[in-house]
Amino acid sequence: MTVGTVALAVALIFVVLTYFYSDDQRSKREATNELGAYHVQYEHLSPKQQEEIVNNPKIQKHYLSYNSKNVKSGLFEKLNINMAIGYMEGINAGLIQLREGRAPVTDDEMVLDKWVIEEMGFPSKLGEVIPLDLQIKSTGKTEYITKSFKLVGIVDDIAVRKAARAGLMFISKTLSQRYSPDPDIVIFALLNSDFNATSTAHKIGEGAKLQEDQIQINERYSGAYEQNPVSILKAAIIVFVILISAAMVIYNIFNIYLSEQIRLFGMMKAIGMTPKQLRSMILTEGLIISLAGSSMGLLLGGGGSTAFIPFLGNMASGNSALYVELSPYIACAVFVMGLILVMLSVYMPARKVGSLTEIAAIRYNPAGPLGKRSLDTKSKLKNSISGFSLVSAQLIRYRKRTWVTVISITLTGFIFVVTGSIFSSMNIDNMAGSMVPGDYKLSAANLDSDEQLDLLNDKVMQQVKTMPGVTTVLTEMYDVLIYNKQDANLHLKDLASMKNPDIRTDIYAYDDALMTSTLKRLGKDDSMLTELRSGDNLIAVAEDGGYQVGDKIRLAKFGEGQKERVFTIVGVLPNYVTYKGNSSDGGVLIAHQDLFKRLDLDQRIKQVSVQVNEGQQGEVERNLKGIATADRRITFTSFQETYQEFNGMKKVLQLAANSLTSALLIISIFNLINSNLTSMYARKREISLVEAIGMSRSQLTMQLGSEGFIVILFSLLITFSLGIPAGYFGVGMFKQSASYVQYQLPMAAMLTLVCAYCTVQVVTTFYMQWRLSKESLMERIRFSE
Amino acid sequence: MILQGKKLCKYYGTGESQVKAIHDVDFAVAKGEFISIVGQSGAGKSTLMHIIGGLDAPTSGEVIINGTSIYTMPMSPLAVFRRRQIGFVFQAFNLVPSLNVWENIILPIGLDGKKAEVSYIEDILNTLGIYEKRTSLPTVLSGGQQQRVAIARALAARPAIVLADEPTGNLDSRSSNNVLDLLRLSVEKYNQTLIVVTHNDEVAKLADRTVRVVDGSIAAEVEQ
Repeated sequence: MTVGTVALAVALIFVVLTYFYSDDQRSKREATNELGAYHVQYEHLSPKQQEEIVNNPKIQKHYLSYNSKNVKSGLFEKLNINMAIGYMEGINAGLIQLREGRAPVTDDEMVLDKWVIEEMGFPSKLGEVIPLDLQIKSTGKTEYITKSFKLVGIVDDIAVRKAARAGLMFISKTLSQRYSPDPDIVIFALLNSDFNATSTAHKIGEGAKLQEDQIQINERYSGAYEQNPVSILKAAIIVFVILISAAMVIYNIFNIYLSEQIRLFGMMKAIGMTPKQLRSMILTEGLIISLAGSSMGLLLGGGGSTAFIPFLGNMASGNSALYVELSPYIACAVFVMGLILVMLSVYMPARKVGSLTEIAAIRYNPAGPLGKRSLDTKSKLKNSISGFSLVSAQLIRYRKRTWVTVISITLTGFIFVVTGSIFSSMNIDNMAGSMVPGDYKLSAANLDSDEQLDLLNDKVMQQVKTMPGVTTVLTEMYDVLIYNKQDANLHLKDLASMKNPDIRTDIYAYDDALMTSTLKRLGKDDSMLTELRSGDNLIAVAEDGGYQVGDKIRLAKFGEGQKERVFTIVGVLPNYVTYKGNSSDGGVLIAHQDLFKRLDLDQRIKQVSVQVNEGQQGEVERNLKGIATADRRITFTSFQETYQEFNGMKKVLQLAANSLTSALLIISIFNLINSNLTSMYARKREISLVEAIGMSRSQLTMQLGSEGFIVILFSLLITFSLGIPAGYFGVGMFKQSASYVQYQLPMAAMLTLVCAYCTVQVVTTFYMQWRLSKESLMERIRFSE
Repeated sequence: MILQGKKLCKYYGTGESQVKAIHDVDFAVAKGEFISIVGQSGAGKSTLMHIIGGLDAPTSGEVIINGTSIYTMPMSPLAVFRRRQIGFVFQAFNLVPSLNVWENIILPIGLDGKKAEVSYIEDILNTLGIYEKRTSLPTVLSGGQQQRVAIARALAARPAIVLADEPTGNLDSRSSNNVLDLLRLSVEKYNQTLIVVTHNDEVAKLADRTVRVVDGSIAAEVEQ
């Protein structure tokens, strides 16, 4: 049993560490595949800044990108696609994940997004020649040309970009330089070391006199690769908790193992064995057990990892798949940890045995000595003793053992609750649900010049509303307001780099249904809807810090001599919630459609989203596509892919969360089982003699069960009292790097913990009863006599 | 007869390695009687006591206490029967280390869901000379004191029968005499039946009747 327990503990450490290692490798693979292998991108660089960054010795690799902002295509505008056109290095090196093909080399080659090619009406096939009408603005002139490009590479679709209609078009370096002699330069840099990469990347940028907003950290890559004191500390805490849990399990089992033999050791001392010989005998025995246990544990852990991790891997797909990655370093470290843990666990009982006198050892009671403070009880003597008195006497007078059990269970439970808080707060559903208001949408092309054109007019809207299967119709209007410069200074960044004399602000108007769902994201009720309908109130779309609720801003309608009006910000939504793609310099604001009516803003519907009955999606999709086909200025978008992408992301996150929490739960359960069984074996004789003087089976069940339940209750109280605030704090820290995180009380984790502990307690109580019933009362009373 | 043992057998193992700890023993005890069971070490006297005390079921045979065949009872009712009808004094004291002296003594009463008669328990404690130790934990008591606590516990629930297995086995001669006197005094005072297992002839002589066990069978019964 002792060797088995050591083997199980070592196997558990091995499986958990192998899981972390495999997950880390998966995360790194995924990060590299999704956004490319670079730590930071430096934007809008001057030639001097570019030179300084390129020559910085802390940069291992760099890729240049020229963004030709002065080049536009009428076709893309007609299709309502915001294209980023330019040159980029490192495509062939995997900086951009190509579905197929390579980077453009000659002036007539290009790389495009798959979905863009399809919307343009071409097959997404390499070698396809696509003609484009280009407008090239340069030194105040606009040149119109038509040029054919050969498709040499196709970029994999990213659903979020697709939903925001933000496309990529890469052209050759020479063509980019010819079209844009003064391009917007971006450098993607891979640093020499992952250690403190974010801080190093900032220092490099600051050294080249870059503003904060010119330095964009690749959070995906840095998140996966970066090592810093905080990440090392986090990993160390997790390893420490696992080790402590395993150490407690091993210590418990050795303590009881040696306690059972103390009388034998006393006898050996009595016949002449010196304390040193006794200690060395016990330590040698411990060493043999640890070698056997650690070896078995490694085999068991290797087998467990091979079975467990690919099973988890099968639940994900593609780049997110989790493969078992066995590391010889982990195997060696775990083996050594097993030896150290056992030797430490043996050392303390060995010292205790060595220091006991011969007679004390021979008379030793394996139920454990009581502390000095417990030798006399001053409590008032009662004329009855209940089952609870027995339980409380047991727990209070053996408080040292009770505390070890409580701490051991609390430690793992604490980590479980904190991890549960973080994972339950990663509200991916919210993220996908907010960015994607419905199942499909129709958008009108942004043709500002034609004020008479109303693409999504009443007739089209009626058609959409009456489509069988459509359950909800959500509409958006759009207009532009001019920001007061003084106010803009308070709320907007980069004002200096704005070239337009007026600061244009995009303002979207939502109908009741869309506004209600947006308010839900803000945690507001319907009274806010009334405020937005009737007052000059707006919701700002911005990252933290730009706006505060209650801010007053002055905006004017577009056009000469328009009077400014004061609006109140009643809510601030992060960008991810209502992702609008590229916006004007003045950012994005959201109003109710009633405000548009009152201010006489553009009341044409610019976008309509629909929610559809699950069984009728195909039919609605066909009908909506029919509307878009009839008028190419109307764009049809399906959110099914976006949902799928979010679902994939959610699945991977849930997988990681479930695996980690499962591992922690298994450790907690293992601890509880160990504590219960250790306690029972240590008190086998004592339990039996109470049975001999008349304790019935049901009373014994109550006694064993109650002891366990009190320990569980106490442990859970401490776990929740400390774990919930720690989880809240942990979520707060995590929120700094993931804005979509919203704190949620980890109810599921807490309930799981309560249910798991209670189930384990019930099962172990009956198991202990069963084990006891296998021997007669007298056999048990003679135990260790 | 308050207690009868009929054709009691207790065998361990099978075939050639079978050990007959108790073999074909018939045994009867009248109410209020003080019986000593004697025999050499390994003769089977403790096994016999455990069987008649309801702690160890015989391989065959029957134990009847107050008209009830105790081994026909399920485990829980047997435990209840034990705590109401039988008081045990074990050789190794067998006190619950986490309970103090008082709690150890009233434990069988508490297990029965009843309240102890405080004056009665105090009387026992005074008789046994351990009243001052009533709040102490067993670990701080001497062997003699622990044995007295065990005797007090055996008497506390006013059982019909008190079974004592080598009650003086771990005690010096002075303490042994004290404990026996007290035990005898107590059972006389409270009109109980006492069965003492011992290998000490001096102890055996104090009994009304001595039963000698040899190789698992009753070899002789001597009335004092």
